[in-house]
Amino acid sequence: MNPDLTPTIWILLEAVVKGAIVIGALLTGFAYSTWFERKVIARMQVRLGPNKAGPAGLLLPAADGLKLFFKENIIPRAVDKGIFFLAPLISMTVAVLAFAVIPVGDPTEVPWREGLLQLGIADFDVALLYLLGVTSFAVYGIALAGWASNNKFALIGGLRAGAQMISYELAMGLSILGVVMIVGSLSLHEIVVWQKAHVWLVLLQPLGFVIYVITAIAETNRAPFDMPEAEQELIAGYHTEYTGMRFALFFQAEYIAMLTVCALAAALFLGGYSLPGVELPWFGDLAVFLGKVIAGMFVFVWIRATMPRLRYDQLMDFGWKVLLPLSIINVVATAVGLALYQNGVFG
Amino acid sequence: MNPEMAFFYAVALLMIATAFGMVLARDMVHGVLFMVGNFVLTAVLYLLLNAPFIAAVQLIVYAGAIMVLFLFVVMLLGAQDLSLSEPAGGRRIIGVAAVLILGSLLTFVVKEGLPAGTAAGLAEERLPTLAAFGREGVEDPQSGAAFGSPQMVGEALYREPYHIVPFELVSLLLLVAMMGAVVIASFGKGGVAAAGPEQRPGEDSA
Amino acid sequence: MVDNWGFIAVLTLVAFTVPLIGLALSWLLRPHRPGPIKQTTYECGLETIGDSWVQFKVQYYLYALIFVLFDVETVFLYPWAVAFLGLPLFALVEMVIFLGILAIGLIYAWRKGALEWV
Repeated sequence: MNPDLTPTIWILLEAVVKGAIVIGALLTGFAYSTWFERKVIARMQVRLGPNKAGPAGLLLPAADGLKLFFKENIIPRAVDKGIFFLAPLISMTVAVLAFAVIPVGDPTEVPWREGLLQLGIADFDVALLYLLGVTSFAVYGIALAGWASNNKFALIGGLRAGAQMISYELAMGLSILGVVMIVGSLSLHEIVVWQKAHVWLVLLQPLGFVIYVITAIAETNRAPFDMPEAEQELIAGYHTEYTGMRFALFFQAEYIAMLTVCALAAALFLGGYSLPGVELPWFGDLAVFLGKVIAGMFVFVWIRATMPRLRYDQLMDFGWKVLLPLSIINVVATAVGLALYQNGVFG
Repeated sequence: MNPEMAFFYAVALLMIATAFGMVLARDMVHGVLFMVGNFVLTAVLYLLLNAPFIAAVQLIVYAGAIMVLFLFVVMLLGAQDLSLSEPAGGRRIIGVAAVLILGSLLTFVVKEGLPAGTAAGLAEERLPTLAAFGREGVEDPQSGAAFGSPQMVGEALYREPYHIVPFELVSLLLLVAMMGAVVIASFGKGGVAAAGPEQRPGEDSA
Repeated sequence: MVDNWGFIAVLTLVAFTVPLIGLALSWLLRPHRPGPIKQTTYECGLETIGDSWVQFKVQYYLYALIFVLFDVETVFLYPWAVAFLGLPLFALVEMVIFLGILAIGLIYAWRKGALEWV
């Protein structure tokens, strides 16, 4: 036996605590995102929004949670029980896992371990590829939910969501490449550090940023790309048959995915947890990070309040005939620009 | 047994279990799910081999793209149609024979090593240096990147012009595959848009 | 490195267990009153006619297939992009040819109407 197991045990403890903190934060974030969304949309539509439960309706998410928790779960006879049970769990786990590589601050010195503590679950040199891999799993939760429900509306919703997500996944993967080329790393922490030392990448990659934002909205199935759950045609899409806690899991997964893509947008294009020219302690980093995520969530809500839903053929056309060629052009243009820069054309 | 070996055996056992689950699943969609699980575990094995880039590719391409295609195909064909056809006795015998042959070949290769002189044998002769390099977690002196990282893969693939022909051939292969897909899908004279004469009444066309 | 993947493994476990605990607690506390009408498939007030698990239109399959091909392309692009700054100019030309050939594929699919959703 290894005589000195204490460091291993400490690391393990650290991993569990970090995991618990991330999940706790994401669930709280989810709860207050729903409140934030209702409040902002209400203001945009000249309504008051939630204001009964607690001050400014702040207790409404808790009330909603309790309601869903105590609701009876209806399992229709026709469903495939195993997959019906598994699908929301897949959605939720995938949504949480995608957040793992997002850095929320500079590595910090802590008393209980040698070396620095990562502020974020993990950081390695394939972080972005890991993220793409994990997010490509989100399709399974939704497509399987639609299939397992054995309900025509749910199945169409699930299939539509599947086709939509894979279509926009391509443009998303390609839109990030410009950033990777400039920084020369797939580690999100290194990308943030680069931006700290130079400029925010949104200035160098404006087209990449725009494509990323559009695909991020489509990947999270939010308005105006919320075809999978188009109420007027599909009742509630893939989660038509889901009730109570199982429905809540899909709901959570959707909002956690939104938080993740906002955080990713911040890390890739908007300087992550840093502000230009300012060196902050870890809680300052965290506050800046939160501020950027909230700003991103506001844009999500703003777009939802502004834009009408696309028709499905328009949506697919847009993904394949506009975003995909544009993102390829962006990659080539970035490569040519960088090559010119390296050979001193820009001085 | 050190922890790494224990972990490897746990993963390997799970992989065998998911493989059996896939083959024995009565329902095609369940089979697809087992296969996804199997592919994810394969990615874990690649991580154990210190090849994070290949692991990520395994996740993105196999588990995330090809299996989505499989899932769509299973849904497209209608799962219930396929569950009816039991494999015939002859096919079973062929299957068992194939497993035995492949198994004995693999056992031979693992025990004896690859024959010298063949392309695979040459690769193995060169491999030990690379493998030792990876196992000890040594940093690459030139680029500062670890073995198996995307930087290393990029350097190896694109620095020297040796790989240009196979690399461009890959794109031609992808092109041919894409054309094939389009041609196969556009049955009937009306092209893809005609959705096919086989469409039965009551079928969905959303 | 090992640390990081270990952390991810632990997070996977925690991320899977937390919703399971939620489901289990809710299962203990919520009412269970299934009924024959309650458990029917949700429809517009009528019985569902036919099976939902029917053959779907070919476009889904086609998009998925083209997606796989472009996904493979993206995977080739990532190591190239990471190493790009250290690579000779020749690598840029190599990749432009690669992308050009794939662009032909996209244009072909486009012209043949494979990207039309009808």
